[in-house]
Amino acid sequence: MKIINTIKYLLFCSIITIGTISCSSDDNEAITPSKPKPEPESKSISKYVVGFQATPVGQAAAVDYILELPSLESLTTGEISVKGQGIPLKGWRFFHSVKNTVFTAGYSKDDKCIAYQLDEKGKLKEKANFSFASTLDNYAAIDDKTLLAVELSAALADPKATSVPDRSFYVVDAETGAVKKIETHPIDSSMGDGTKTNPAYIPWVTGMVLRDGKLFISYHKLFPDGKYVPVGVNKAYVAVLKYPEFKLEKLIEDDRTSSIGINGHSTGIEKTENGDIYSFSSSSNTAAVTGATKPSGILRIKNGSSEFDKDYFFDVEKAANGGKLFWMDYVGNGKAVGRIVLDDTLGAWGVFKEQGSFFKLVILDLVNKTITDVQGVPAHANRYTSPMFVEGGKAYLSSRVGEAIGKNGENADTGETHVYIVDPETAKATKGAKVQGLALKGIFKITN
Amino acid sequence: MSVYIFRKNSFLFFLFIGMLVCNAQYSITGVVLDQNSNPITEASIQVLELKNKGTVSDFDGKFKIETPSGVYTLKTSFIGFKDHIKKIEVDDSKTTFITIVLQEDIKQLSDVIVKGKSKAQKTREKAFEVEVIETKELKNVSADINAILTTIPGVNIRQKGGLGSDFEFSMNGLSGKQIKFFMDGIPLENFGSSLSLNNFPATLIDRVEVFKGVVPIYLGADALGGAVNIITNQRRNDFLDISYDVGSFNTHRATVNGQYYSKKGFTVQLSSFYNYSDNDYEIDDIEVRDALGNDTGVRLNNVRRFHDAYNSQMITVKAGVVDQSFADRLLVGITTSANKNEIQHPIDPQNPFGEVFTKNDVINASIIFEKANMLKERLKVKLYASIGQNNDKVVDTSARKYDWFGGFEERVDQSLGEFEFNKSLFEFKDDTHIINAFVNYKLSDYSTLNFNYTKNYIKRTGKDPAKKIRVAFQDPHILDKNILGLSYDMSLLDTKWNTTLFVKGFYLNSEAIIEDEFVNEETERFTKTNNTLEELGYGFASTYKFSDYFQIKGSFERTFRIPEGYEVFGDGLLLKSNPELSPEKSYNANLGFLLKATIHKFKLSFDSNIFLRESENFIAIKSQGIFSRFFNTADARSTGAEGEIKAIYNDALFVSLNATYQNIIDRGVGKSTGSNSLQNQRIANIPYLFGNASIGYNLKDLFSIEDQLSISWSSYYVHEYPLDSYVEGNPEDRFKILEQFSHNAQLGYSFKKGTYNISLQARNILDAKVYDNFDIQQPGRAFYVKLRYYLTN
Repeated sequence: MKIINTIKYLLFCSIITIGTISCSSDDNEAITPSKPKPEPESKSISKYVVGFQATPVGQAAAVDYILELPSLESLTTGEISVKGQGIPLKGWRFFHSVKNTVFTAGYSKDDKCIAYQLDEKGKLKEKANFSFASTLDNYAAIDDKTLLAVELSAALADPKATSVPDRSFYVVDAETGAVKKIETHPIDSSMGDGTKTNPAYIPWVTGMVLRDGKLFISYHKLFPDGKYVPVGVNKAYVAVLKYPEFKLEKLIEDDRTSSIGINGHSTGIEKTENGDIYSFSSSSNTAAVTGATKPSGILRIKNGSSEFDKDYFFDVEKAANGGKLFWMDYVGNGKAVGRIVLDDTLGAWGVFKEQGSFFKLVILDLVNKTITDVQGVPAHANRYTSPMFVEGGKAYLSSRVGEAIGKNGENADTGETHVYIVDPETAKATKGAKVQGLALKGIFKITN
Repeated sequence: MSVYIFRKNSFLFFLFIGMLVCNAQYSITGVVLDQNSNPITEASIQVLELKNKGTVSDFDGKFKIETPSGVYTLKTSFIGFKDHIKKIEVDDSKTTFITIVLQEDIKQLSDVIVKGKSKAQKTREKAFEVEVIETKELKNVSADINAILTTIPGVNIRQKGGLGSDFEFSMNGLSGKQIKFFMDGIPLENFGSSLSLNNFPATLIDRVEVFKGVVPIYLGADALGGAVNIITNQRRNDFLDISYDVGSFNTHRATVNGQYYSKKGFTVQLSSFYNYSDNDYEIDDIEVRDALGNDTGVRLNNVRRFHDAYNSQMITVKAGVVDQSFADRLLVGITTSANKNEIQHPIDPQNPFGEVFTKNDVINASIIFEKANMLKERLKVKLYASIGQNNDKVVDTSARKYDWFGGFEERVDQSLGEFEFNKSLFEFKDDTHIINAFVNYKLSDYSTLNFNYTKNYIKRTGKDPAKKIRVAFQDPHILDKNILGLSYDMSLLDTKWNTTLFVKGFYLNSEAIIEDEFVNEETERFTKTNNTLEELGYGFASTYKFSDYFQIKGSFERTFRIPEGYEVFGDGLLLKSNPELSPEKSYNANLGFLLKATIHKFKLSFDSNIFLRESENFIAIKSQGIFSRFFNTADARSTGAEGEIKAIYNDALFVSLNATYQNIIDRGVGKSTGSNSLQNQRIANIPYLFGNASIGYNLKDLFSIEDQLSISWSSYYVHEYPLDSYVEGNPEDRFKILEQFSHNAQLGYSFKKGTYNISLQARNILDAKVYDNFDIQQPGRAFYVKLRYYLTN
């Protein structure tokens, strides 16, 4: 009977509980976080921050982490791991920085962009976040205070559509991490007339540079069937917009090489110390610039001009040690680091894999138009990357070395990722820290 | 006897033994009937004087027992009826035919825990690691099948929201498509979402069998991690069963279920349900953003879900004949069902949808033939064939971005949809047919040979009137699965030792259009391709009964899950093909113990199982630039233990408690990094410790004779587990699925022999904040009232 009594007691209690809880208010209650008290200024602290892509476990996709590292040595020696450390993030992500803020935006699974900064104590903390409508596809730190991110859509699927929708530009204050305004602009779009010679296209941005109130935007023209196939690929395109008005000034093009940049990379065009703008065109089929017959090459827009420099063309394919560029990023002193596709027969998107001997690393001398193979980095893979991290004139980048993964998952265990420290002057690389994951998507240095 | 003879010549051997036995014996034949002269199927008839001599009545209530001559006591029992004892004399001068009439035992009928050897109990005692849930008592409760299955040890069902929401069923660490579902032995995998487990009210079914890891051949499918077989009413009585329940979140559920048998053997059966719910429960921690999307830091609680309604309906009618010379059962049936499901949000609940919904409708025609006692009562044949069509539609035609507070804004890009990148009216049509043949041949009293063949054919075609671009499955995909099974059951050592040996052949043929991205001409760009896979699975299940109180069982199977069409061929869009994809493969093993004890008025039972699932080639999607593809990825190992204790006192008070612990690791990860700490890493986002408890009391003959008041409390617990990793990331920053602990309470009253039933249920009675999936909050406290009228002759 003791048990029965216990049950009776339990029931009694539960009935009372129901009564009590049912009476609680159903009103919406707001919780506003209390504002932190300002603390006295302390000595500034600098830290290295990496976007870390972990090794996938089970059937899950690889998880991205943001991880702070105490010193440069963490990148040059030992191992970088997120074991017991690092902040996990949702879904596949991009990482970009503007001065002392690292932004990370989700792609498809998470429609939030989070801004991270170091707090007063030098600890990496979320500063702010904003949500966006679909996906942010390209980013640029257009100055020390502003992140510009653009939403692109690759399909014009609606049979009733009569015009190509505009692109949305998010102008983000890097200090507060907040969106200041959203501007819309078509850049360069066309409904075409349905013929092969005049097809419909939408612009796919591959790089953005701000110079003297002008925003230079390089782009591919994509056929809007959702398959990311470029049209008019045998020309380089740049749109010049007035900034901050977002008014089109002009569209410029050049037929010496193919469309500028690579889908997913943000360094299609870049500005050097003297204000010159350089762009790279890949022409690589396997890098998804399908159908290009023009050579892979580099164009220039001189400081003060908003036209391609007719007197400058760097034929990367023809140059000694050359080939088709997959990626290029400017280091300084007229030099850039590039990845050249080793085998262009792997099919469209064939080199956008986590692992495989897809690229060689080279130094491109933009002024003298020479290419030098970098010693010390084996053939490797690295699909998407944030703008390269440079300190003391040296470039720090993450590369994965290993055989291509077979369709049944073979070779997955042969890959190793390291940070490589590249000296552009000597074209020599040293192997730095081992990454206990798939890749470092970005390396940054920030100060509180 | 050598093992060799055993394996190779067992057929002849047992035939020989069988003949020997037959020659020296006389037979008692008879029929078991209820008070209304309806035959009772599966009643147990035992000869008390002869140990282990007994049988069960067949479909017509008939039975036959062979004994030496003498005087015997026959004990006949069946759940819901009082035991019947009869003395009988057997000699060679006459054939003994007896009629046994069982009296209904209302006391027993109303109690599911206290039972004789019901079908469920018999299944439980089979060599397979199987759980059986009888729904007799649960029929009065507002519950769907999922709510019942989640109380089984080793089983975890993660639901995304309220009634009709998506769910993931997992069992001993394997989940999703690795588990196959059946209804009366027919695979449900190609049936639409309106016929899935979250729709069926418990009222419509008789019981559910859950096979863990090792699956008998009569469930013909490529089940990697086990199978669930829902068994609908098989009893042969006339009845009408009507129920209606109403509850929180504007939830309404109704069922009408009935059958009629004429004297000449004509029968009509009807089964139907209707479900509706607004699912407008309240959720917490909703972010408030400004017009530009910036987080204001404000979080709102008690925000009502506003676009989550679900409705589904189903009707099945079967008609035919029973007990004819040409067939024991010959039925034709038509099933039609439909649902509409509003989608409130994607994975992240912070971004609500306001208009997107999915629809499904199914029509299916089937024929069932059953004939037993052929070839000197040794052969039994069951045939099933069906043809059906299943339509699924996603309606996503709004470019609005909704917020949680009743507002929305029009997006700049009006071609965007809410759910997909572009507006969509995507629709796919599945044409299906299923053939199932099961043959059972009794070699002797102690051995049986079974053969099963299941063909599961599906042709999928997609279209999308809202898109002018190519859509998924625009060219049909065909998937033709053929599963053959052969098993040999034997019973040795006075039926104490029962073993089943089986082999399964998996044959898959699939056909699709594959796109060559490098050819621009539409006509040459797409080519038809074929993919054929053949695999051989095998296994055994064996059990030894030391006594009525202790039983041990072990089982093993090498099994496969054959990749589905879209995993091999892609969808014709951004999901690319991988014709080299291998099937998922697993070696599954179980070792179980069953203990029972009766001490005065106490009945105790203990059931436990330890398991191993050594799996290879898990199929997962990987991205390649904008494209993605299915690859064979992880090799996993799941080990664990589960146990359940049940206690009943005085046939009135019952307590049950079960718990499961499992450890699932990825055997491959970490090799590349050369880091031991990453090797054999535990796979996250799967519950690893969970359990259920329930306690209840039944009061009988309270206000009137043959009434019953039952009261019960059940609790459900899942320990906290991480979303991404057990080792990576700062432990404080890791995303977690927090501990879940929720309680349900029930109060039921039945009177007039169970004709009138009323029950009151409170789910999540303490209004706990429960998250079954990361960030997706489950309903809070909810109340349901159910009325049920059950009339039988």
